[in-house]
Amino acid sequence: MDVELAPADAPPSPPRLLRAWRRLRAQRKAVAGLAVVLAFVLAALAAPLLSPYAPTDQDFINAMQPPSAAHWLGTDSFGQDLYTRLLYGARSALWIGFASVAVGLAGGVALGLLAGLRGGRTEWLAMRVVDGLLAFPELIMAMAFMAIFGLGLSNVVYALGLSFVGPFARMVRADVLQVKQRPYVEAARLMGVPPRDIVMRHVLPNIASPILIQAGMRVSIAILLGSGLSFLGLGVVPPTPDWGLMIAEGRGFITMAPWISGIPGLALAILLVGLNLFAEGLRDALDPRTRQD
Amino acid sequence: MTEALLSVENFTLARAGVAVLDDISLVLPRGRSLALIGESGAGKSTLAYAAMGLLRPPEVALRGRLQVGDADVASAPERRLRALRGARMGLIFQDATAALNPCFTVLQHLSEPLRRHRGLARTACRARALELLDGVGIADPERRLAAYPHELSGGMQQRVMIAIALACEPELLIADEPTSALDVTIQAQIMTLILARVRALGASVVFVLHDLALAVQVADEVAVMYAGQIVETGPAGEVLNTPAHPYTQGLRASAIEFGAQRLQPIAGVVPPLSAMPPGCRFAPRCPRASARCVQRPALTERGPRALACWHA
Repeated sequence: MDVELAPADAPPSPPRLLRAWRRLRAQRKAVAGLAVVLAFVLAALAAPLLSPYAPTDQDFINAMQPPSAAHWLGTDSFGQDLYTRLLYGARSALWIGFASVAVGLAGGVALGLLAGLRGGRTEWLAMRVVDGLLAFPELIMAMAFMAIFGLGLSNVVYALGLSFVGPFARMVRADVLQVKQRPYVEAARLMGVPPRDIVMRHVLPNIASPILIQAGMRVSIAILLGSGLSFLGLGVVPPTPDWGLMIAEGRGFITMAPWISGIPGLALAILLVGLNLFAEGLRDALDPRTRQD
Repeated sequence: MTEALLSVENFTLARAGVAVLDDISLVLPRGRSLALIGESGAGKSTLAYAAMGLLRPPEVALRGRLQVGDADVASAPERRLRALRGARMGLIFQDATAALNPCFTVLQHLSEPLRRHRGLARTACRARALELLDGVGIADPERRLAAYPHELSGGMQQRVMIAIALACEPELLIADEPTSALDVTIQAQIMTLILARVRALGASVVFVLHDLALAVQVADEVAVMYAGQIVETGPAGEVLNTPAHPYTQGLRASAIEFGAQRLQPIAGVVPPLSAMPPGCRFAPRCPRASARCVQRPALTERGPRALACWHA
C-alpha cells in the first residue's frame, strides 16, 4: 500500500457530540430556541443583579401599578414588583422543568432497561407497573401526589418526575428490544465483552438519541404542568415567586390590571416556544431518520 | 497429523426438544481450513455459533463433545469462554454493516478486544489498530480510524470486521458467509485476504459457505451438511469435484455454472426439523432412495472421505 500518498495530517472526522452540535447549529430555529432558553437561564441566574427589589418585597401603597419607570412591568395586588418576580419565577420554572425530567428519566431508563434486557417475568412485572403509571393523565397523577405528600417545590419535581417514568420506560424498553437483537450486540458478545459492558457501551449509546429528544420535549411539558399545579394551588406555596402562582394571583384583577396575569403568561409562552424549537432542532440533529448525511 | 484445534464428537444440539444439530463429528487440525456447506437451515451457522460458545444451556440442550483447543465449549464456565472469545477465536459475520456498532468509530471497534484481552493502553491500541488496518489493506488507515461504520463502503466494513476478528491473533477464525453481502469483484479480494491473514497467523479457519466453487478454492476440508447432520466430509477438492453422496451430487448439479445447459434443482424441500424422517433425512428427496433408507446410515469412512449413505 502506498502510504506516501496518504496525507499525514488529513482531518480526522470529528467526534459524535461535536458533529451533532454542528448539525444543531445549522438549524436556524434550533439556534433561536436555544437563544431564548439561554436568555431565560441567564435571567434566572442573574436575577439579583438585574433587579433592585426582592421578589417578596411588599409595597401596598404602590399595589397594582401599571408598568412604569420604577416598576418596569408593574406591580401586583401586594405591591410586589412583577419584573423581579418574573426573573425569580424563571428559576422555579426551569428547575421544575429540568429536575422533573431528570427524575422521570432516571426512573424510566432504569425500569425500561430492566424490562427490555431481562424479559420474562421481570419484564411483565415492570411493564404492568408502567401501565399503572400511564393509566393516570400526568396532571391528575401529579395532583394526587401533591395532595398526599404536600405542597412545595421539591414535591412538584417528584410528582411530575413520577408522571414521566411511564412514557420514558416504555420508550426505553421498545428501543432496547430492538437494539439488543442487532448483530453488533451479538458481535460484542463474540468479542468476549461482559453483559454489563454490553449494556453500558453497546446498547445505551444506541438508544440515547431518541431518549434525549423525548427528554427535551418533556421539559416544556413539565414547566407547563408545574405552572398548572401552582395555578390550581397544588404546587409551589405563596409567596414564592412562581409564574403559575402569579397568573392565579392576577386572575381576580384581570379586567383592572391585566398585566399581573398577562406578563407571567407571556413569559411562559415565550419560554415554551423556545424550548420546543430547541427540542425540535435536537430531534432533527440527532434522529437518524431526519439526518442529512 | 497435527494436533486438532477444533474437535467435535457426537455433538447434538437440541432447541425446544428438536435436534438442530444431530450427532456431528468432525476434526479440524491446526492451520487447516474447513468449509461447512449446505442449504439454509442445514445447521452450518448453528454449528459455528455453538463453537463460539454462544449456544449453551439453558437456551439449548447439548450432548457430546465440542472442544476448541483445550477448552470444552459445552461445559466451560461463561467467564472462561469470554476470555476465549475475541482472543483465541474470532468470528466474521456475513453482514458487516449490521455487525458494526453505529456508535463506535473504527478505532473504538479495534480497541475493544485489544484493551479487553491484551490490556493495551490507549496509545498502544492506536498503534496496533493502524497496523491491523494496514494488514487488511485499508488505504490511509490513519484517517479511517476516526470513521464511523456508515462512512465506509461495504468492502471496507468487511475488512474492518476481519481486522477486529484478527486483532488478538486468534487460533480459530470462523467466517460465516463472509462475502455473500458483497459485490462479486470484492468477494475474491476478501477471501484472498482472509486466507492470507489466517496463513500468516498459522490459524485454523472455518468457512460457512453455500457456494461450492468458492469452497473448493478456499478450503482444505469440506463438511456437507443436510438437516443438521453431516452427510459427506473429506478433502474439499475430492468431495466437491466427485461427490459421492446423492445430496452432494444434487448440490453440484443445482449449482450455477458458466455455460451450463440447464440447472437441475433438487426436488422438494428440507423437511421441518420437528417432522424428520426416522432414517436417512435426505431419503424423501433422494433419487436413489430405497427401502433400506428407513434406517439411518452412519457416517462411515471411504478412503479419505466419510459418507452417510447406503447407496454410495
